[in-house]
Amino acid sequence: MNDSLLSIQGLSVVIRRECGEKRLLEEVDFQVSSDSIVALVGASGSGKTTMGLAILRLLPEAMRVSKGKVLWQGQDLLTLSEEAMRRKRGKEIAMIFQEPLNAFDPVFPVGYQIAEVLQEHTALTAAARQQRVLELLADVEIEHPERVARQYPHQLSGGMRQRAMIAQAIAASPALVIADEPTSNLDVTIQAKIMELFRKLRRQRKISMLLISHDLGMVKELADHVVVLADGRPIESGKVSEVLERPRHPFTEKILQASLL
Amino acid sequence: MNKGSSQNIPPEISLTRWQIAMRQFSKNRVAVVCAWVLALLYATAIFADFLAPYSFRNEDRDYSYCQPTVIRFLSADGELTAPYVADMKLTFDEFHRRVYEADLTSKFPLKFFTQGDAYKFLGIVPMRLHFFGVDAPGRIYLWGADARGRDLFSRIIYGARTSLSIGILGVLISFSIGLFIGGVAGYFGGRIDNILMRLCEMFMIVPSFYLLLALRAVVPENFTSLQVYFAIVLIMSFIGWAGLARIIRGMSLSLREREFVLSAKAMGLSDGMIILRHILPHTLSYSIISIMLSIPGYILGESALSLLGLGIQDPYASWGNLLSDAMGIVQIQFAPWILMPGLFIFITVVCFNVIGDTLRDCLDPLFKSEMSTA
Repeated sequence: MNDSLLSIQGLSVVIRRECGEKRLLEEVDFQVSSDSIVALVGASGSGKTTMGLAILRLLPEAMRVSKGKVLWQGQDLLTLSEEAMRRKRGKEIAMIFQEPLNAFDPVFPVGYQIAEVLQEHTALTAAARQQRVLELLADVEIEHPERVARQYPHQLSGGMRQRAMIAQAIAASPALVIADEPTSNLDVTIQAKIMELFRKLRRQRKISMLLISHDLGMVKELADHVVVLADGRPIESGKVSEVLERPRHPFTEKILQASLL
Repeated sequence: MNKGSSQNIPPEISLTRWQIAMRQFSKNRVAVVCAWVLALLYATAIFADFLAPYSFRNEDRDYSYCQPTVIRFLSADGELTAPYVADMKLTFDEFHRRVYEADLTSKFPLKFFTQGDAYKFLGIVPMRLHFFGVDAPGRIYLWGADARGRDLFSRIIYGARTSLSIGILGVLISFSIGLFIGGVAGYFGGRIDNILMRLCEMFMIVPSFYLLLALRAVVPENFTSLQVYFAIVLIMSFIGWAGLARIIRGMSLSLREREFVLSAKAMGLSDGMIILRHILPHTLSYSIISIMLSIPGYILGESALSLLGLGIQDPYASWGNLLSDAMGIVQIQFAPWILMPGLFIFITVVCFNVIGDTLRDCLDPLFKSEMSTA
């Protein structure tokens, strides 16, 4: 409990409909301790992405948290002022989106967009920011960072864009990165490289991760703990080795079979 | 920068959207000509002091409605000489109308780079140099004189300063307001959107010309000419922002649903920053087209006010108040050259519209593909 970075306690999220409210997440509990990778797995529509957005308090207008706490280093994020929450986004908790082509603004070069995060969260001068952007791009193993920094998102390949996105996410050295299906749109060889990169970043920068994925292969490779969601309910959680080796819940067994086939 | 070639080198930065659009634009000859005409007009306005033979207030009432001066190359006895203008002698015809007749015996040679009325070049350097002119007491009226014997050519050149700058300045102010209000309303939505849009509609329900007149009436009488100028600019931009704000609001409303806005939020960017950097830049191509197409509105608005005597006051010149001389049939009949400022308004408005239309075609990706298949 002491080294718990993020602790979700009984979190429920509902969506407003014309005919009342529908539950999207129900009583979800889990913890991310520092320097660990927790995976959130489940079928599409099981509320994995909603979970990620709820932590950052970026739920769409129709959704709201109806119950529960999001404790970040002991502090409930749900009670913070909007301004205080904004300062934590990107600086303490960052998010990597599934499709970096959409997550980058198409009208600006990627270098500029990474520098923007630095401008928001650090006191670096413009020249120092430029320098830092190149270092970050080099850190995520992009060749020719000077050139890539000047390129627009659509000019980069999928793998490059995802690396640039990761560089943007780690720019302000957050303690936790929420990665929402970071590799689902990439082909297998690139996926392997991105996983390798995550492992390296974790080693070097001690960044914890909340990995949202339905790719059990990836979860097995990367994560320490796993939480299985089905229909917004956590049905099983524990050490990756235990859950994936000896699933207790039939649903876990089902998705395990599906992915291993 | 060159670290040897590798297979993974991303392609060198290709043409940006603007470069493509500019290339497309330069293919349209009419638009290019219009752009040059406008450039020429604006250059003329900037160097008005130097290009105009007289100051805008230099008058000689002996030459009221004097017809355009002919530049002569032949002397009275038919010999070729250096260009000169003849002295104009005032006589009256049988209807007691003023008629000016050239007296070829008193000649005033046309001089280039000659000394004339004092002015401050670009508002700083005191100078007397003019591009051309004739020595006093001779006078040169390239496009005739107005009622008080002032050179219409000079006054049109000086009027260009007012008329051409008012469009740019007005558009800058009203677009700043429109982009800000529209961006904020669309981005935040909900109650803020509701309040701001109702405010817009309040401006839009009043017919703009009457609002213009009403607001003009509020401006104190003792304002100097410069103050009146700025008051008119402010009034017009105050009226003009609402339409733009509505459209920007619509664009902003759809842009805020895009994932890069969510991503920007997740990076901790503030709302102001997101509007400024990730919402408004996406409306840029629309805004530029819209700016080009709304500048004529400001020029015409100022002209209309000045024509009614509510705008720029004599002796200061604008194309609108120069035209106000031409409101009587008598003046138009006997001195048709006083319609000349109207021609300039016409040319300017047409040029802005052609450029705006062409830009729209160039910035619209659908149209481009049509052009290439055609």
